[in-house]
Formats: sequence, structure tokens, C-alpha cells
Amino acid sequence: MPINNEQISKLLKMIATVQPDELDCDGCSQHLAEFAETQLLGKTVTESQKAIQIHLQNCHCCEIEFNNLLAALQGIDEE
Amino acid sequence: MVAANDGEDWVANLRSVGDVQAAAIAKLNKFLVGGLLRSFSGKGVDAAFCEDIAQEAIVKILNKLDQFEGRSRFTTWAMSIAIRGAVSELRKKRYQNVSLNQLSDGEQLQIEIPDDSAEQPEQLDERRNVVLKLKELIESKLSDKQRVALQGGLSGMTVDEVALHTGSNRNAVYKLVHDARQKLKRELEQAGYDGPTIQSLFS
Repeated sequence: MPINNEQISKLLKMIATVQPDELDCDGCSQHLAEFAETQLLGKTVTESQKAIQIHLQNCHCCEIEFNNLLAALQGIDEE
Repeated sequence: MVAANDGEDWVANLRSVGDVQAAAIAKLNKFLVGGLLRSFSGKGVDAAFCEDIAQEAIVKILNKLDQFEGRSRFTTWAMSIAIRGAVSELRKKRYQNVSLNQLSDGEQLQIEIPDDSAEQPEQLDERRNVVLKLKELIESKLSDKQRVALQGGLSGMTVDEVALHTGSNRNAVYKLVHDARQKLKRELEQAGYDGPTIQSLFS
């Protein structure tokens, strides 16, 4: 099945923005909790966390998990 | 937001035995179920599902206590494990009812040269040249698996769906696509099309 113009543009963007040291899904998963806290506390994303950010932009599966984690944590008070 | 807590207390209590451990497990279970309900409410998920996921997550957490490094609060780390379990379970349920024929055997990435007749001639030529080169590179430089994985992603399938279809796993598919992207980027750069040039032409 041929891809259309929109998909060609998407593919070229994926190619143009690829980084050699991108995190894979397992690596992202290991850091998801700390990244969620950074987001929820409104802290500045550190250099090392930018790799997580990039992975989440490129991996819809991990992005879904991250968004669900944020939703689970928001407003929760342990006690 | 989650209240501050002491990760070491959690770990110590969960490693303990008897009433101390039971109390910690009960507290963690309540926390996880609450978070799961909050996260998945309105997505066809009920309390029984969340209870089951929390129970399974607690077993995993107890087996992974050595892996908690304290980079986040213990409860955030624990919740991330429960969320991954829930998302995974929901995907499995979804796949039971969804055909994965989107990516039929042998179906691979094919590029048709786009009809951009509305573009300015100069830009049209440049875009066309990039697409022609991309088409050539996909056909000559990528493996069948890479073409299938890219096709799946561009067709709207998630990495998990591609992995399920190809008998692989999420991480392996992500790496397959990442390697393909890097290879295509290198080859396009050698042909004179670097990242910024491509982005300006196809933004």
C-alpha cells in the first residue's frame, strides 16, 4: 500500500529529527516516574530528561503510558 | 500531586513480614487502585479491573524492590508499574477483537511520487528530488522488517500493534524503526539533504 503525501512528510520529519542516542522504550520506562514528577511539579526538564521527552514524541505507546501515569498521579494525596 | 513520602520506609515495610508488610501492601493497594481508577475512568474500566491490576502490580513491585533507586518517590515508581500493566492488559483485550490484517504479509513501504502541482516549480523540484531519493533508499537500503515496521507506523498502528503482528516486542520494533531512520538520514545527508533542509521543504 503506497503512502500518501502527508505520510511522506511525516516520515521525512521522523528521519530529519532522529538522534543517534535516542532512548528506547525500555530506557524510557525506567525513567518515566521521575519524568512524571518533573512535569507535575512544574520543574525544568533537565538535559538528561530531554531524551525521555524526545522518545515520548516518537513513541505513541510510551506516550500513552506517560499520560495515564500523569492522570493517575494528579490530585492524589497518599494520606 | 502525591504527598512526599519516604521511599526507604516503603521498601523496608514491604520487605518486612507479618503485620508491617500486610499494612504496607494494603496501603499501596489502596493507592494504586485509586490512581488506576482516576486514570482509566471513562475508558470502559471498572473497579474490579483496577483491583486485579493493582494486585498484579504489587507482586511485580515486591519482586523489583531492589530495582527502586530512589530517583522518584516510591509511590510514583510503583504507580508507573501499575499503569504499564493496565495499558498492556487493555491492549491485549483490544487486540482480541481487532483484526491485524492492516499489515498483511509482504506488505511493505511503497512511495508514490506526490502530485504537488500547486507548488511553486522550484520548490516542487526540490521536494520531488528528495522524495525520489527517499524512495530509492527505502528500496535499496532497508530490510524487509524495517519497511514493514515503518509502514505499520505510518498507517497509524502503534509500536505494540506492529510488534504483535510481527511476533516481536515493543522495544525491538522501536529499535528497528530507529535504525531505519538513522540509515535514511545518513544516506540523505550524503545526497545533500540534511535535516534542516528536509524540514524546511516538508514543514
